[in-house]
Amino acid sequence: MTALLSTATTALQAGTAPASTTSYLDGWTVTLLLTGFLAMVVCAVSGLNGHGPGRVTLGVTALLQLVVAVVFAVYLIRTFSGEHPIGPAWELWAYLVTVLMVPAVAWLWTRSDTSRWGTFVLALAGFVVAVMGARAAQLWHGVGFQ
Amino acid sequence: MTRQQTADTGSVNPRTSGPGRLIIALYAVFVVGSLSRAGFQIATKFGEAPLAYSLSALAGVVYVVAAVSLSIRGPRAWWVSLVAISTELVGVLAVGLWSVLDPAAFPDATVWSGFGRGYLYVPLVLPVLGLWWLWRTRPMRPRPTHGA
Repeated sequence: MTALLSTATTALQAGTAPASTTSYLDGWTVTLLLTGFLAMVVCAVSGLNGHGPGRVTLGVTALLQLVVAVVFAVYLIRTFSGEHPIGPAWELWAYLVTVLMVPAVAWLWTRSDTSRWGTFVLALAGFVVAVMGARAAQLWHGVGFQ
Repeated sequence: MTRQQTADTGSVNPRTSGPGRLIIALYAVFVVGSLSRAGFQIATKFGEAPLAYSLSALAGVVYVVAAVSLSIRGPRAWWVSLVAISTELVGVLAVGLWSVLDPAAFPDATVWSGFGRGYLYVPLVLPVLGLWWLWRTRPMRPRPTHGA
């Protein structure tokens, strides 16, 4: 955790440096990716075992929502402290606002489907957050915009 | 238990339960993605790639029609879904082929160029899943008669 925080701080200080293909993987992006894929795997396994949304799968979705909110706040802080994404800002924020809503919407949706398919929707939410979060980081660091 | 009973009496929409739930969720993701992208591109830089942006907008509209009609019960909505999802399949195949044969026509990507390569080929798989689901829930399926 300390290592992740220091990586994030380094990334904050480094600012918008020229990007290689993996340089978008700063501490917060890695945290978001790992949490997203963790939620996806946990929920997919639970769904394959025939379980509806339960304490563990909803818990991991809540954790995902928390991480997403923190990542959103980090981008906000960086923007207000005068930094800019290298890619288009509108696209970055379109992804971030979507990602911010995905776990909550998936959670609400499980209330009307208590079958295993509700659990699969939670797994999909984890995957969508991971992919869109990575895309947002690529836009910030300018991967593909050189 | 109660849920199963309501399903038997037909008050639960069969197309929004089970796998349909996941398919509609996938459509919802693509509605948000394609419409926000196309809306912004057309509003700010339509002249740069008019063909690509028009096709993106068309794809977005098709995704909206598919997502909405899939979540409405009844045979009429089923037929609307069938037309929308068939259009989607034809669209991703035609635009995919077109973008591979004539890349110069697409200076900026659409959801459907390269058969949906930029979106992990989900745009290619989604209409196939959608058609399979429509087949599973087709309204004209002969049903055994349960007495009166």
